[in-house]
Amino acid sequence: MKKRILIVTDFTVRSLNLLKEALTTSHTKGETVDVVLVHGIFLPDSSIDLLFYSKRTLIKELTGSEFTSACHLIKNKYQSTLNIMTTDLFSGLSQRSFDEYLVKEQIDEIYMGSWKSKSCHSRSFDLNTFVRNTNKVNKIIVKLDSEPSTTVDAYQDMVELFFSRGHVVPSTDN
Amino acid sequence: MKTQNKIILVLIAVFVGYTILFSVFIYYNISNYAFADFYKRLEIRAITTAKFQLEEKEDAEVIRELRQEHLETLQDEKINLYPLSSDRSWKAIDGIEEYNSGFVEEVVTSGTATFNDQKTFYYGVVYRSSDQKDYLVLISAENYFITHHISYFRNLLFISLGVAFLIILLISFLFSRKIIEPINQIIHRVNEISTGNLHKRLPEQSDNDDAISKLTRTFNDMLNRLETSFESQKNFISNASHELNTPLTSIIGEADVALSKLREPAYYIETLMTILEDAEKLSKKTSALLLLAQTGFDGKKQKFEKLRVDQLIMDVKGTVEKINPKNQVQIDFSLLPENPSLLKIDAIEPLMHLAMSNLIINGCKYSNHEPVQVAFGVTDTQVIILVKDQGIGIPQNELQFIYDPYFRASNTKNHEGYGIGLPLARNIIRMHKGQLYVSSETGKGTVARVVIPIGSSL
Repeated sequence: MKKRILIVTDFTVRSLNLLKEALTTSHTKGETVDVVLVHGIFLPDSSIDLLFYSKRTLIKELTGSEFTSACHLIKNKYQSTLNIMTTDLFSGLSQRSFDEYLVKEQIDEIYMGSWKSKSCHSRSFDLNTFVRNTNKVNKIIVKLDSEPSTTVDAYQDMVELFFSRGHVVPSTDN
Repeated sequence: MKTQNKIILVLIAVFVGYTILFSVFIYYNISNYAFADFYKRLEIRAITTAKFQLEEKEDAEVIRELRQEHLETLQDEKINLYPLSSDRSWKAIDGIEEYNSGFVEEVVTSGTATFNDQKTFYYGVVYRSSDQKDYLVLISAENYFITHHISYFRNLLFISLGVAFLIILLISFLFSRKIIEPINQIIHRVNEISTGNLHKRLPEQSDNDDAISKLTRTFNDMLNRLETSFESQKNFISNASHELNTPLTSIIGEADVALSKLREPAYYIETLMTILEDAEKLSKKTSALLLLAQTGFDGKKQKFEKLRVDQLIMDVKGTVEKINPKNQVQIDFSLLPENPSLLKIDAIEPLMHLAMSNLIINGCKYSNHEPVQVAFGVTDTQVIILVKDQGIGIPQNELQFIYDPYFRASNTKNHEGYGIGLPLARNIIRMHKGQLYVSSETGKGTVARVVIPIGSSL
């Protein structure tokens, strides 16, 4: 069975633990999945910025080299499980637009972290609120057993990706 | 001769040679032109004069006016007309002796001729008038350009040659110094490096591919190899003295106690058993240590070969646990790629083995033999290996010194060691075009990350 999974990301390596968790689950079930990494970001306010707004450049700007190599790391690990992985930005303002986005993208499952995501851009917003309130699709909340790194070391997160284990938090709101 | 002087000489020779050639060419052509041009001017004067003196009145008048109006009189211009007899003998002509006889002879035989002494230029032509009589027309004048301007022109060329020489000298001096300077710097820096400070490297200025950068890189590669081979010896001694002492002391102690007085046979058997056990441990340790130290001693050339990282880590785990059975290594396969061919790197196996076991042994040693976790994964371009321990860590302000040989962090007083393992590991990883990063938190543990490029897919 083929599934499409939405993963809430803030372009930190830490958020890729969700991806790892999602793929591990699918791998054990023997499914192949398509993954969409989605980050919530408002459209620019000024008309000139809007004129030159391009999702692709913005995504390029937001993804760091650590994030890219971590993605490759996971891709190599789950070559047979992971079918296509894309990155997208969600700029809707209302719960309804998010629900519509889920339908349009044909999302079957959402993975979100139990921790507070970092805002990596001045216009970023927390997508988790929308995810929590939607009831269109199956939501899976993942809790990590390690605390978010306090050190400024860029690759501390990479270490976490290797050694930390995620746990699915049993959902209470359904 | 110094290279700088050589460069200066070659540059000067080339440039001055070129300038001289250039000047001679210009001088020769200008003076040639001046000669040809002046004879042309003499010719037109000779012809017009002959015309208006010998031809019909009306035509002659026009020509005379033309000549007077448009042809300026040359300096010392002198023109003579002599009628020629039909047998063309000219020697008897009155006043002809002031001209050079060879010149006049040539005029008579070939129709026209030119001649010059230092100052005065002569032109002669045999003119046939409309009534079929021949006249000898001889004109002479001083060439003002040749007498005055040409010497000025010559001086000008000489002065510019001199100035050019000075400029070339200056330029070639500056140029050669610019070329030589980086080489001198490298020589200076390499001179500073000796066995005492073999960990020093030449600063690599730029990434471009010029000869100087290549030279620097070559020197650094050589220093890496040198330092690695120096240190792998020291590393052996350091490891051996640390690891071999304990079982030896135990053996000696047991034997000593047993021999202190006469005992029951059962006691001897027990003692010998203990000694045998210790000796076996010792033998295992020695063979593992020798395995690490044999790099470069087996007479084989060290070659880069395809090496699978998972295989390497398993081997290292074996070695590390042999050296001290208390060492525990946990290998984390959670990010092992599905395609095993991605795990291949280009490496010198014994060296990589040495580097990885140093990192892991350090982890074991400074965490009092708590388990050390080793994980690895592959990105699109590189293999990442992580070694994580739960040891004493390294103080933040000392992290920058950990690669200096013989440096030991301030909190390692209770642990034996010589500060050789980590610099050696970094050297080996550098030789494989990889990088070693260490991050640590005091009391919590240390994580070493090794990043090595994936081997070319051949």
